[in-house]
Amino acid sequence: MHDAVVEGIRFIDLSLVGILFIFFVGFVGGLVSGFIGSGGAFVLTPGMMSLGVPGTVAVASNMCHKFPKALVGAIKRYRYGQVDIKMGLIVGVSAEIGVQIGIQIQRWILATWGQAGSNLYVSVAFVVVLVTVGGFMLLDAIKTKRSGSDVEKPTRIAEKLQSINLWPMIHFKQCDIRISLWFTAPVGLAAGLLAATIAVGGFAGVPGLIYLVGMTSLMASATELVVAFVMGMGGTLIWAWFGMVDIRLTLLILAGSLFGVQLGAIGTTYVKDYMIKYVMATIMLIVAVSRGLAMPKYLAQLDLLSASETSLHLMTQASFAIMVIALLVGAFIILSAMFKGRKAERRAEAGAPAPAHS
Amino acid sequence: MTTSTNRRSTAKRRSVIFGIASVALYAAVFTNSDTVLDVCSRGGFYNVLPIATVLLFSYVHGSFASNVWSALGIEASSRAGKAKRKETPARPEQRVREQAVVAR
Repeated sequence: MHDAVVEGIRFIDLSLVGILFIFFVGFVGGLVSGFIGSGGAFVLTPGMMSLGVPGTVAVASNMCHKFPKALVGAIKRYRYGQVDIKMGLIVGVSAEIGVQIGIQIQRWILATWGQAGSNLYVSVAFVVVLVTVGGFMLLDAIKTKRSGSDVEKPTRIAEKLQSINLWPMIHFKQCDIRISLWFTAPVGLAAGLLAATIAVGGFAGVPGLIYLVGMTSLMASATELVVAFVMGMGGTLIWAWFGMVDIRLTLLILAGSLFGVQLGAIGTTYVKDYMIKYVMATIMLIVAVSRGLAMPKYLAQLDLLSASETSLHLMTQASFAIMVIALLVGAFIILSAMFKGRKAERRAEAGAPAPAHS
Repeated sequence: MTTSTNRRSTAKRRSVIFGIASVALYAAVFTNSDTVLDVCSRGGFYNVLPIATVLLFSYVHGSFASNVWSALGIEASSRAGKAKRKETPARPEQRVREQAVVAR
């Protein structure tokens, strides 16, 4: 079966501009992933497609770079005591199931409403999930910052879920949480479902680990890297089975992202926990605007909206530009918070009074 | 200060070694890109090849990147990993062992 698929795909010739673009986006994407656990890859697929890479090859090559990047990031953050491997593996396995369910839903939508319907579904999922979760996270981060407390407390829902003794109860040593498998599995399922829909499972996985399981932002974002490794490895095995991975593209993304992911991981050691929420919420809300602008095109394709070709084209271009801006804004916040924290620590070590860093 | 200087010079040395290895790997792939692309996109059980390739690159290039940041003095906060250990209470059996040691 895979031979038929291989024959149908086309690998592009790479130009110097294309190589530099992939390296740069890989670096910035890696930086964001290393810091918030995911979210750096969403620009890569449309970015590669804008260079002429077929959609399936772009998705497969992106997926193939995600799991080694996540592995390197997870190892780095494990050394800082931020990763709960057991939680990552358990959530990762349930996320794999979520991915399979997500693929089936996508296939059903594609068969029923065609490509435009599928694109519209993806965009609606993007906007609804990102606005809801991103908005909630931003408010929570603002509340934590205003409270002046350094320590994040588990939410009431998380405390309630942890108190329910439902077999099998699992103790996660690193994050010191005891919770039933029945409450961690839905987080993985949601992450997998979202990964199969919008390619960024962490936008459900990290908030789920924070608000439902009761982990700190720092631990949740680091553990999400383990989840991304499990999901990415499983996805790559399937894509590579069909011969869809363009290894050159994967290696070029990795060249940049392995620098980025480690810098992002280092950055987490200088900031307060709520900064993870800030960065994630900011990126989510900007991306939601981007996807909102992409929706009229699909609505027009389904004859649900009438708009001129020029305005639809402009909105599509603006949508991609805003997505790139989301990544750059995230990277800027991470780097400035990291360097501010670093400066404050050095000043404190030198004995001078240091202002509290963000 | 001396420890930090030593660490940076070790990182510099390691970044040169892993840097050369990384450049060699990338050169090997991109000078034979047609062959590598053909083999890695054959599909079926050849799917282990792209996976093995990225794992090899992530070790070599990842070590290079890590050492470059260290050589540039960009390292984790000195508090990294310490807070957690301080907060984690000892397990009951560990406490019993500790009390036994104190009693002796």
